[in-house]
Amino acid sequence: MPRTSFTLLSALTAVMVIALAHNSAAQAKKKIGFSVYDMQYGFFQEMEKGTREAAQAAGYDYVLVDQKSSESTMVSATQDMINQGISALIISPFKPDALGPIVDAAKEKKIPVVIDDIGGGGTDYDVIVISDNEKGGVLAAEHIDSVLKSRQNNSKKVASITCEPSAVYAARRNVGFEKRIKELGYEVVATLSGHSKQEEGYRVTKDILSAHPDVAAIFLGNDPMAVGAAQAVADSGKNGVKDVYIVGFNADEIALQAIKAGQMGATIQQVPREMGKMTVDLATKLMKGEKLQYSSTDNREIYVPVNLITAQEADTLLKK
Amino acid sequence: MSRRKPRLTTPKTQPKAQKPLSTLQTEKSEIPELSVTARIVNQLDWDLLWERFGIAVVTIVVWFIAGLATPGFANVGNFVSVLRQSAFVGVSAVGMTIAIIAGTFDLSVGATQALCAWVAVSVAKMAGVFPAFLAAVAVGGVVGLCNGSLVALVRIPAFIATLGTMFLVNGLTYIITNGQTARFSGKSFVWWGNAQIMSVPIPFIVFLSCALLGAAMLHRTEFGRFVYAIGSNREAANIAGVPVAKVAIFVFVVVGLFTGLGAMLLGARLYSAGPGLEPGFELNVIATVVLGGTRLAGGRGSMLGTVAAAILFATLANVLNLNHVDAFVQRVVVGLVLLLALSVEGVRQRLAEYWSRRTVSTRHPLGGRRSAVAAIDEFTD
Repeated sequence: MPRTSFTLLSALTAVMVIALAHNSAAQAKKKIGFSVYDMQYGFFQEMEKGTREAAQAAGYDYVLVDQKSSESTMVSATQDMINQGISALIISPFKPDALGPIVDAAKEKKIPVVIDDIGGGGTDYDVIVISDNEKGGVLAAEHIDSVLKSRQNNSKKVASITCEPSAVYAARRNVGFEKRIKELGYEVVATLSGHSKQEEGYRVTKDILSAHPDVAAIFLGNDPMAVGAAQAVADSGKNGVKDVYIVGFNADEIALQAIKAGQMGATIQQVPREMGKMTVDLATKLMKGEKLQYSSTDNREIYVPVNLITAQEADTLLKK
Repeated sequence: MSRRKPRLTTPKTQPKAQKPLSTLQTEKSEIPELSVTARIVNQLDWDLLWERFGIAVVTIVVWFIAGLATPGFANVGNFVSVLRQSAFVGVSAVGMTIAIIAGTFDLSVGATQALCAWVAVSVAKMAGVFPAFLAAVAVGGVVGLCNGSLVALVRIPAFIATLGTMFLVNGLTYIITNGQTARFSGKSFVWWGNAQIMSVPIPFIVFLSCALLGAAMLHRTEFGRFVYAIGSNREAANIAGVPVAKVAIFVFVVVGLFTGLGAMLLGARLYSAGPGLEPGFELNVIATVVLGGTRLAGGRGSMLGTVAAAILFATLANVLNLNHVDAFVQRVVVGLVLLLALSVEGVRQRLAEYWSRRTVSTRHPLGGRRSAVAAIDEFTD
């Protein structure tokens, strides 16, 4: 190896040694780390707010990491956060399948892992807090049924648009919806994936409207996609309430605005803020070593109830 | 330096005027009043030094500053994280360095990486680590072969060819995987992406080995000499008897092989892999190579620079995260760093041109408008 490269390598080592001497001491206050899917979405902004407020109210130090919809950022940034020294990890994972290294790293440091929504990836987390997604889909189906019955519309055709395929829990929304709506006598003409994105929701809805112009209602797995669908319906010269009834999921602000403006019909409200608060409570319990009460012991799930939001409720929610 | 590199530059020319600069022992009456330092500064080839070692020095400086200024940076766990993170882009960048020195580049490495990572994870699940390694590298090599054939035989420009391959491989990955991610957490497999030996992460060790292998290929083999020749001047190389087409195909195969290896490491790191893995990866790789001192024009390059640049990018991302800088601001920072590093060369050239008219003539390696101007200058003195 040339001498200069060797000198540089030695210099690098020397710098590392010097820098290590400046290492800071461990902290006394407990720190909670929250790693979130992507802060550009209203749903996760609400979740972060709830988590942060609960953590600060309980007297913890709080640190946030944004995965920016990237699985490699999810793994590297969350592991960096674990290295910084946290006492508990709360994570809302972008790609649950890649949770493996994170959970292993947390287990090595004996840190409890609380998962907030999305999915667990089959890993050894401590608990996952999830909305009762299947019930939400059922609520949506029954609501669509009551709305369409009160119309002269004869069409019994509906469409179901799912979230990103790896979001296994969100998939339960559409499963619950399709099961119930078929029981009520409707036909599901299309089940497609909108990959949880607004642009995809727009595109897929446009395709459905061209293929089945007499579709009476569409249920979408989340609100960004539902707003995209509302735009697609409007662009086709129809209305998202009177002609094609659109129902979303989440109760994000964009959807509430759209409902109030009469561009879409309804949404199923998740309570991300409450979920965030619940994860902090669960983390506290786990740090104390208490046993948890699960809603479903199979996958250590705890369910959070959901509500139907139509035009009247949307107005009240927006005012808050 | 102990090794001899083939230099496509002419030996240093001496100015038409009197003073020989090759030694410091000249008649005192002929030498202008310059201090020893000034003379050494004049004699050193700063452009070459910057090109070879600039980024490595910058990386060390950044580490030093970050260690003092950012809490949480200077601990072993964090260093491990930074070095590990640099390896995934780095392994692919080793192959890309060879490609860019050869005067071409490969936009399909991102899509290839996703496919190879999925192959690695799926094969590891069924057959174990070594078959997974072979499969990932083989798939990468096959994609490289396609790229190489399109560029060298069908004569499609590299940009278009590899752009097309990128879309093709991307779509193919979605079809093969049916949009699903493959998962595998077998200990011997994920060891490759996550473990450490004496606090040095395994992916980084693999990365350094690949860099050494790549440097050896460039400097100690006939293939490497051909690569430099083709990159400097393709027509001249062709006339001189270099088998341009064969070398070009092999270059793309090498890029594919390294990308496949890096993909296996990434799959091991994430315990999973699926379509759409790391969008924008190809631009990160190219940026790393260019930041490391290898110019897109080809013909010259530095493997040490690539290693340093990969570490530098990983360090930047780490420091920005530790300081809770907004995600989108981070992208702006990366762009600025790249532009800054590339503009240093241009600024230095301007300064050199200015000073060369005032002081004793400096040395210019051949190649480029600047030295042609300086060479004409000297002849017409």
